[in-house]
Amino acid sequence: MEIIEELTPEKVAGLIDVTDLKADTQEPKIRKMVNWARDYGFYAICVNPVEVDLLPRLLKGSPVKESYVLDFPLGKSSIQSKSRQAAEIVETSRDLRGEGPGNVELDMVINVGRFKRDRNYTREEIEAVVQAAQGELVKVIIRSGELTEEELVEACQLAKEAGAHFVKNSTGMDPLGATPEHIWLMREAVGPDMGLKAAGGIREAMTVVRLIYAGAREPQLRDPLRFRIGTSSPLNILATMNWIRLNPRAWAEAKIIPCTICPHGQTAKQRREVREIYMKKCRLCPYRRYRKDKDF
Amino acid sequence: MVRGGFHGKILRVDLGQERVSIETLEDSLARDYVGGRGLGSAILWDELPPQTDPLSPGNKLILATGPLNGTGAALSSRYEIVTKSPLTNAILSTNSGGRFPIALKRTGFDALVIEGAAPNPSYLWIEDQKVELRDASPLWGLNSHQTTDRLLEETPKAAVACIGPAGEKGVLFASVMNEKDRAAGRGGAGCVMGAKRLKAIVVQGSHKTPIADPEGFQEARKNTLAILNEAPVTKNALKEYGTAVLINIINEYGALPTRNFQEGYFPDADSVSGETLKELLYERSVACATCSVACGRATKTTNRSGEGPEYETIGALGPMCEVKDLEVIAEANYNCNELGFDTISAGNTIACAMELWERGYLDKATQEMIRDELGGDLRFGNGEAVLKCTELIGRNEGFGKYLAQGSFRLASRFGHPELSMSVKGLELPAYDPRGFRAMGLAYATSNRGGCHLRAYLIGPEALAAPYAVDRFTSDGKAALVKLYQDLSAVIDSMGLCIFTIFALNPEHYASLLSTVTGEPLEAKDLLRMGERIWNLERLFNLREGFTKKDDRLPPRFSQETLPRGHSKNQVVDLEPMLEEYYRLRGWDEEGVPREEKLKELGLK
Repeated sequence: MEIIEELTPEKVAGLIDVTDLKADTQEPKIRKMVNWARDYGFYAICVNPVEVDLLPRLLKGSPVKESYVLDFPLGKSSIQSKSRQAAEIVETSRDLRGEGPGNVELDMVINVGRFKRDRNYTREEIEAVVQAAQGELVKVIIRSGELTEEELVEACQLAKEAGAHFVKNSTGMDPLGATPEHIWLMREAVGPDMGLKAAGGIREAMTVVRLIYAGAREPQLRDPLRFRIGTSSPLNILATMNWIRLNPRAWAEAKIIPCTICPHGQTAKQRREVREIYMKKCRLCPYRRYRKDKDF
Repeated sequence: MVRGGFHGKILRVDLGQERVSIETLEDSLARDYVGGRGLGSAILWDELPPQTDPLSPGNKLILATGPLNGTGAALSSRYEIVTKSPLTNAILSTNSGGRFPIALKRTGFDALVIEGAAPNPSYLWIEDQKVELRDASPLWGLNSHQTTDRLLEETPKAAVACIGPAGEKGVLFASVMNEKDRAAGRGGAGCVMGAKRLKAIVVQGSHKTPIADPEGFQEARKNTLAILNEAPVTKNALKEYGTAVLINIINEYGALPTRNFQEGYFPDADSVSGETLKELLYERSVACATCSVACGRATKTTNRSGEGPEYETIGALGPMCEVKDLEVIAEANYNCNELGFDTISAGNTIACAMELWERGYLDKATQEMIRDELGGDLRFGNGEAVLKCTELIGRNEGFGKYLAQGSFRLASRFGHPELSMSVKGLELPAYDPRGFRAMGLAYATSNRGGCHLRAYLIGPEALAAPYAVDRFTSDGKAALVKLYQDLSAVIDSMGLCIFTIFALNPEHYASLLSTVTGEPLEAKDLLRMGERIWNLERLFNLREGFTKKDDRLPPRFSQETLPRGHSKNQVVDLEPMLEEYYRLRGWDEEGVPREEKLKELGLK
């Protein structure tokens, strides 16, 4: 309730990375996102690297940051390739925007397959990108739906040790979007000093509130350098904010079927090894009875 | 000074005396009741003597526009008809979209109050503020399409609202049709119009809706349009498949009424879904004026063409009657539109008759009559019988006479009122409350009877708009129903489409209304206006003799569990929600608004 009372649409906008990472995105959409960011005060615009020839020009003179995904969505390029791309993006953006450092952010995807058997490889690739970023902010996408909970915690700790600024749960195209449980685990893993970005399937304000509750419960964490929301539905999130604020108690009491926001019930796209672990947790969950009775 | 959004004039037409007069709209009425549904309800409350027979000349038919009509705001082309319903005897407000609402506003009148009954069939012709009552004898008996075509021959640029044969012949759920296929459908406004021997209303004009703060309004309009174009439901689902997109969704939830609400899962749902409709019958999308969604569907069957069917129509004429042939449903829908009556009540009433038939509750004479007229039985799944029944209802003859009285009177006639799936006599729409608790409370407490649009909680309970909630819990639902009822009352009163509720929030509505009228408003002020309208409608019903016992669902929903699907084994426990609802409303245990609540709302 305190979170709801404190969260104004303006404050939520300040935590949002407006995102469009579709293959068929064209220039008018980028311009539209820029207009939204200027009008509503969104923190950053998150796009594919190809937009670096346009986005810095459009954002020149505004406080809105540019965010580019790196080796998206699979993270399967070599360390050298990731590092070269990072350097190229940073240099191009700085050239075109002409406003010096501090305007670019890089959302890099780790190579999950390699991570599973060689933690040092992952450390190396994160360090390489951090170095190539020349001081710009680096977010590490760990694709949490492909990891066990132990791996998830390790990946977050590794990103922190390798000098990244943020950990991010999902590309939005991997098996699992943002669930409060994973976001909570990630915050526990990295502590309050590192940034945490929730992404994947965030379309309305109640989900945002749940994720904030999980990942930024303390007020000082509700700062764009500590917590971020990645979404392609930013206007809907702001539009739906007002509904909660009108009657927070009613919405809270009407609750949500817990299984619909639990990672352990969303296993359709997972590999067998991970799926079995998740399904076991689902079987042992205290809400299991609830789920069975309701047959939703 | 006239407030923004209004012309400040009401046209009063006494059909019996063949007299028209122009009255000034009191500013307090526009301020307190917003316009549209609120304005109409306030006029009806003031002017209609208690216990007036709805089909007598004493009943009033009020057509009211909202302050947003004609402003160019997105989805702002709905007008409201307010009257006392012949089907329920409760207050009825029923709205429709298309081009007619804006054309009505452009006449320079904010509302038409029609009273008395014409000695001979007449139609009302209004161009700007020129008003004539014209002879409609040549039109009497024509269907809604023929009537519209004939009237548009004289004035091609006008917009027409008319009744079909159903309205003329006293079908209790007859509709008022505009643009041929758009219906102010529910509750029998067309029947009231027919009793007044008013065949049609033809409107055109050039009056622009005044806007108090044009710059502020353009900003609000731009913002709301951007959100409507981005919100998932209004951006994708409704645009792509029309309202029928809900068939598969609601069926998956196990709450698609099937076989007169005996089940909530229809195995053949996909054969009547929005997706199948697009594949088989779709011709083009149809939008109301100013609409960016275009949920309407022009369709074509092998032999005929027309508009629809939309979700509710498919639900009522399809799964409710266990009909899985989309062509048959579409043609039954064309019948309803052309003859001019409500598809929801029609489908429900036919389904009720089917259950009466299958359970053997119909007497021998009636069974014989049905066999004679339908050429067979009236079992569930008999599509041809459904099609034939729609013809009989429209002509109000034979077994159609029984059906034309609605499901409650039909079921009561054969001694089984519990088989009427209605609240206050108005048939229920296509969401089973056992699968959606809040909808159950919304139905039970709706002022016009079983209606989904008075609090369209399918948004949160099924579509995650604005957020997903647990559809099976009763907790918090009373507060959400109240919130939605109050807000919906204002949306209807502003002249906006209820589908905006899938995208906009109360603050958006407040910004639109305040920039048009010039009176600063916040969301809470808006909800207070809605609460006032809701309470006024409640007072009207109480004055007509309705009590707490009318805030009830058919017993089936509390006594019979759903046998299969994803709402299996569910029933509705209404009482705790109802108690909580009365408390939140500031009403006593009997559902009567307390003195202090009425004072607070300025109703005392």
